[in-house]
Amino acid sequence: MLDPEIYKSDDEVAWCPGCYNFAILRAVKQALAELDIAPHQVMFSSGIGQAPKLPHYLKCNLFNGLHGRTLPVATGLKLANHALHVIAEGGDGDGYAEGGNHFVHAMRRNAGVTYLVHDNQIYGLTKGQTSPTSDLGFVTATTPYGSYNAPEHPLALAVACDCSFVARGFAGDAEHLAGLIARAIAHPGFALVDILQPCVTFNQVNTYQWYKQRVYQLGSDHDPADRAAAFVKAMEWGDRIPVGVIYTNDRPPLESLLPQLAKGPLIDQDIDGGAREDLLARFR
Amino acid sequence: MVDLSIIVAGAAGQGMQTISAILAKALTRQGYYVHCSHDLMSRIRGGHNVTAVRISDRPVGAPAERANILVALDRDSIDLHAGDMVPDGVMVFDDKYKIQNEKLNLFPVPLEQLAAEHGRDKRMANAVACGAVFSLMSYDVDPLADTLGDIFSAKGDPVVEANIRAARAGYGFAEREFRGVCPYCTLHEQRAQPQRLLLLTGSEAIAYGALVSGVRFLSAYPMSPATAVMEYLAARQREVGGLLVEQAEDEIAAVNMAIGAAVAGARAMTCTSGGGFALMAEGLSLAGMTEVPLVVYVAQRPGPATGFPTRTEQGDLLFALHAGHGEFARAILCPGDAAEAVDAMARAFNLADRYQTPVIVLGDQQLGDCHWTVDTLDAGRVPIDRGKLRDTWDRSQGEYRRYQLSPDGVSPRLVPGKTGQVQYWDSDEHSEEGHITESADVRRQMVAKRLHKMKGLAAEALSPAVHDRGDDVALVGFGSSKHAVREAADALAGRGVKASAVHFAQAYPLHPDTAGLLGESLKVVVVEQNATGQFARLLHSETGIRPHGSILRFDGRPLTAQYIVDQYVALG
Ligand SMILES: Cc1ncc(C[n+]2csc(CCOP(=O)(O)OP(=O)(O)O)c2C)c(N)n1
Ligand SMILES: [Mg+2]
Repeated sequence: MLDPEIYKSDDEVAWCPGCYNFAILRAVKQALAELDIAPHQVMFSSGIGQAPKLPHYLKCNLFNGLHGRTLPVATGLKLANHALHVIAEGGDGDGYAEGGNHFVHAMRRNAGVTYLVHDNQIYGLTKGQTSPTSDLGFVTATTPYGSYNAPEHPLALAVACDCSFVARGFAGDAEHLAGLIARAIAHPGFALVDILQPCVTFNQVNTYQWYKQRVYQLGSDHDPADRAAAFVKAMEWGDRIPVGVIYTNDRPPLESLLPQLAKGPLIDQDIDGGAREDLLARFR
Repeated sequence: MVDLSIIVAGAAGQGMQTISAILAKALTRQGYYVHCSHDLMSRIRGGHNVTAVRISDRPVGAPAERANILVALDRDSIDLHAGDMVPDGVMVFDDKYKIQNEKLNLFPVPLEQLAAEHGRDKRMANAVACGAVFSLMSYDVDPLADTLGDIFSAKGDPVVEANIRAARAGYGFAEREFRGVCPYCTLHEQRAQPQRLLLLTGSEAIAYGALVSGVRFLSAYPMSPATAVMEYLAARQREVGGLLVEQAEDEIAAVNMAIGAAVAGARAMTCTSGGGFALMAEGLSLAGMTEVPLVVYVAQRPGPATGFPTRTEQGDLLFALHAGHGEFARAILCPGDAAEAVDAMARAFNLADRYQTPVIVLGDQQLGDCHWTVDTLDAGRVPIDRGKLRDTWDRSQGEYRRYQLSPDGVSPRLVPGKTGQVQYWDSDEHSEEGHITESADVRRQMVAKRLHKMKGLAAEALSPAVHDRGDDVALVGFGSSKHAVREAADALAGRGVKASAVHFAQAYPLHPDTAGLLGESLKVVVVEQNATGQFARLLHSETGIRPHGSILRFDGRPLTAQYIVDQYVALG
C-alpha cells in the first residue's frame, strides 16, 4: 500500500466548505494507494462541473475536457494505451444528461474504464438546476413548479445495458466508498460507481441526513451475478437505498478482444511510415 | 493524344459501379490515366445511375462534358444520354431495343441474351458490355479477363468464371460484327508504362495517406462521403498492425475519442461530412484549447442539413475556418487529387504534432468517390515528425508543465505514463501547470501562446501551384477543382485567352506570398463549387485581393473544363 499523501496536488481547492466532494477525494486517494497505483500510472478524464474538478486536486495525469464528454475521451485514452489506469469522473448532469448517449454506449463497449459519478441530484457548478436524477417535483431555479420528468435510475439503466460492474457508494461513508472504488478500478471492464453526494449549498432536500436515514449496505444475501436480482436492487429508491456492488458480469473488456493490442499498447507500436507496397499492389 | 470518355448508364442495381470499376482498372492496366466519376449527369428520377470513365495518355482529373462512348444498359439511358454524346459517338446497347439515330454510331449487342447464355443470368449484361467495349477499342480480351478475376476474387471462382465467360461472349460478338468500324481504336497511341500506374479513389488515398503517416487510431460515425475512409482503415487494421478503428455512437463521441487517443500519444484522426462536423465543433475547440494534435478529414457534400448526400460541393470552407467557439490556431489543407490527398494526410499529421493544434483536411464527394490514376505514390516524401513529443523527462528541468510557455507557442509534450511525471490538460483557461485559473495575466499569456502557432503555420504553408499559361487571367481554385481549372486554362488558350490556373492545396493559412503572386496577375477569377464565393472572400480577407469575378457551381454536379470556359466567356 502506498501513502495516500503522494497524491496531494498543490492546486487550490474551489469547493464549498463542508462539500462531500472532499470525502470522495479522500476515498479516491485511499483506493489508489491501496492498489499501489503510482500517480503517473493513472489518467483521469473529467468533464465540467464541481465534481470533475476532483482530479485537479490529485497528483495524477488528467485530461479535463468538456461537459458531458468524459467517457469518449476516457475510451480513446484507454484504447491508445491500455497500460494506463483510466478513470472518468463527473457529475450527474455531466454523465447522465449531456453525456447520456456516451454512458449507454460506453457500457456496451466495455473498455476498461472506471467511471465515478458524483450524484448530488442537482447541478452544482451552475448554481442549482434540476438534474436527470432529481426526484419528481424537485423545485429548482429552472423548475420553479417542480420537475415534471421522471428521474433516471442510472444503475437500472446500467444493468439493462449489461454494464460489467455496477455499484453505488455514499460520500457520507468514505471508508466503504474507498473499497468500492478500489474494486471498480481493479475490475477489468467498464465499471460504474454512482456516488450519492449531499450538496450542502444547492440541494436542501437530499441532505446528508436524508441519505443517512435511507442508505443501507447490501449484504451477502445479494448475489451481484444475478441480473434479475440486481435489477430489483437497482430500482430500489425511496425509504431504503442500497449501496454496494449491485451487479457484475465477466464480459471480456474491449481491449482483450482486439488482436492489435495483444503485442502491447497502440502507442508502443512503432510508427514506421513510408510506402506500403503490399497495400499499393491492390491499386494496380 | 488520347482523351476519351465512356459513360455507363442504367437503372440502379444494374451494376454501373462495377462496370466502371472494371473498365477503369482494365484501362489503367493498359497504361492509361483514368478518372472515373459516379452519378455524373444523373439528373432524372431516383433509380437512374451514371458513371463516367475518362481515359487519357496524360493525367486527367475531371470528367468531360461530352462522351465518346455510351454504354446504355436500359432503354431510358439511350434516350437520356444520346444528347450527351460527341457527334459520331459510339453507343453500345441491348439489341432488343430498336433504335434509329443518324448522329451516332450504333452498336447493338444482345447484352442480356449473351449474359444469360454464357454468364449466370441476364444481370451479367454489364460484363458482356465490358467485353464489347474492349473489342471496340481493339484491346486483347485476356487482360480484361484478368481484371475481372481480381475484382470478383472475393466472390469465389464460380462468379469469377461466369463473369469472364460473359465478357468473352460480348468481346467475341463485337469482334465478329463490328471489327474495325469503331472510331475509337487507341491501340497504337502512346501511353504510360502500365506497371507504374495505380488506380484508387480519393477516399482510399486519404486513408492510405493516414496509414503511411502512422495513424494509430480512428474513431468516426458513418456519413457519406467520408465513410469510405473509415471502411478502408477498418478493413486493414489487423493486417497493418497497431491500428484501431472504432465506430463511435455519434460524431461528438468520435472527435472526443480521437482527442483521448491523441493525448495518450497515438496519432489519431476522425472523419466526417458537414453535418457530423457541425457536431464536432465543440470538440475542435477543445483540441484548440487543450493543444491536442487532432486531424479531421471533412468530406464536403452539398448542404444545408442533409442536402444532396451523394453529390459534391465546396460549401463548408468558411465553416471549417470558423468551426469551434473561441479563437485558436488551425490549418486547412485541401488536396486536389488522389496524389495530393496522400501528401495532405502526411502533412496534416506532422502539422498537428508540431503545433499541437487541430488540422482539417477538407475534401469533398468529388475528391473522395472518384477513381484516380496516379503514378506510384511515394509516401516516403514527407517524413514523420512528431514535434516536441517525448517519452523521457530530464528531472533537472524541474517538474513538467504541460503548458510551459515557449517562444514558438508550443510546449514539450510527454507520453502519459512513461516518465514518472504527471500532466494536466485543461479545457478551462489554465496555468502553465494545466490547472484552472481566473488570472487576467495568465489569460493574456495563454491566448498569445495558442495564437502564436499561426505564425509557424503560415511560414510553412503550401504555396499555390501555378499552371502557367500566361497572364491575361488567373483562374484560381482550391481542392478538387484543380484539374478542371487546369484543363479550362488550356482550353482558353485555344480561344486566344492566356489563362493560368492557380491551385491552392492549402486554404488556411494562405502562403505569405499569395498576394505577391496573384497581385501580378491582371485579372483574378475564382472558380469554386458553392453559391456565395467562399474562397474569394477568404482570399480577400487574408490578402486584400479583390477578385474580378467568380465562377460558381452549386448544383451538386462536378466541375468540368467546358463549364468553366462557358462561364468565363459569359463573364465577358
Ligand atoms: C456544452 C455545455 N453546456 C452547459 C455547460 C454549463 N454547465 C457546466 S457544469 C453544468 C452542470 C453541472 O452539474 P453536474 O454535472 O451535476 O456537476 P456538479 O457541479 O453538480 O458536480 C452545466 C450545465 C457547459 N459547460 N457546457
Ligand atoms: Mg450534480
